[in-house]
Amino acid sequence: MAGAGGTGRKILAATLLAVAWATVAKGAPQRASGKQTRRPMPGFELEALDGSRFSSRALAGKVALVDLWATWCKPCIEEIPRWNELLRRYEGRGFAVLGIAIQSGWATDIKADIEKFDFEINYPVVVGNQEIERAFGGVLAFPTTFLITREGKIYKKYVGEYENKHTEIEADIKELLSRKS
Amino acid sequence: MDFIALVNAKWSDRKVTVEDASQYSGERIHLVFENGQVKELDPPASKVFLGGG
Amino acid sequence: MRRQPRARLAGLWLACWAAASVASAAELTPKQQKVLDYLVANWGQDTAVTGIDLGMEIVGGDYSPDDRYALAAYLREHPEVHRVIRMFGWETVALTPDEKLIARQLSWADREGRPSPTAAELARAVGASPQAVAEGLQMLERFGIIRPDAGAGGVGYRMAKQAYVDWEGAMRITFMYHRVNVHGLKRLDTY
Repeated sequence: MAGAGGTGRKILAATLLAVAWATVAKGAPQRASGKQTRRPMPGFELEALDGSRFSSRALAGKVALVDLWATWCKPCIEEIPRWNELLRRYEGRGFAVLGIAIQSGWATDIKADIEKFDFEINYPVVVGNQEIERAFGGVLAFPTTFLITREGKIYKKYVGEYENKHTEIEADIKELLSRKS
Repeated sequence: MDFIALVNAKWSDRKVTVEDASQYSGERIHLVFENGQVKELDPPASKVFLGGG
Repeated sequence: MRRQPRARLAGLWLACWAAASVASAAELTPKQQKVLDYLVANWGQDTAVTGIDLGMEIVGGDYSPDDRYALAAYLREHPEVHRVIRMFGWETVALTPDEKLIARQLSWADREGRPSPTAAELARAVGASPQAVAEGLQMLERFGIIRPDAGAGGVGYRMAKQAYVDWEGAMRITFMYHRVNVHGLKRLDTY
């Protein structure tokens, strides 16, 4: 029946129990690089951790890394110092980073979690929701990170962990920064 | 930290039964762990992902 | 002329009754509060997101679907009660495993533009009795998760909100469950 879910779903040979569902997409050979798109980044206005509103317009004209993460996602947390470092290296050339925390509760919850980290987060973090996930095309796994061009297009989407991910991201950032707007 | 980590650590000396369902078909799954190992799995063809992060 | 005062009284009575119903949904009886106290004390520990139904079973006593509904309605109105609600949503603790599996089947059909499954198909897919399916549909509708739709075919329901159609993703557990029994120690639903 369609419910037992139609042909696509009736996996008789291997019914999968994703018992470790609350984890990230581990790197797999078939996903060894980010996926290129040319869609515009959705416009949004979300709550920042200090209660103010953060508008996507603040990223206009910049190459931006938009990181969709969760405060309980260990690999997401481990990446934050890398984003801090990229910001340090390239902010002066018009690079920005934004963290959108989803499935992590309210701003107060997220702040409380961040305060327990061993490091600061040197870029804005805002409270995400299902609407923003949908606007970005859906989040299947954590972390999911988007690189945005100065023109506001989604250049690439990077999902999960895989070999050379951060080398690729930095190379892409440099490529976009080198382009004339 | 997911409950598999608990099965392997904190509850490793206990019998742990899990009622679950396939993420893909919705078919029910019954799982029994003993000493951190899978002892029963129904349906038998189920695959249990033990990875975590 | 004599009808008007009676009509007004009837209207006033109905308004009071409705107001009382809404007010009572926002408050819990002592018996219900006991379950909430148990859940709040346990949520988050050992990845627990224990459902109301399991909470009622563990606390023990004579609990009904109306009690579950009241607790779920309360949590929907009061997410400040616990972070688990703010992170994972009131739905995942409100629904039983059967209801979650029914919701999944309906959600998939809705998303894929297929007719809604029939009751028999749902019973087979979910591994539940026809009565359990009927009760589950009733509760899902009561919670506002599904809505009647004569054009849907099958059991005649579609998801009530887009969020329930594309609920999957971002490790959302709205219609998922892992019901764990650590023998001799505890029972819980986990994430």
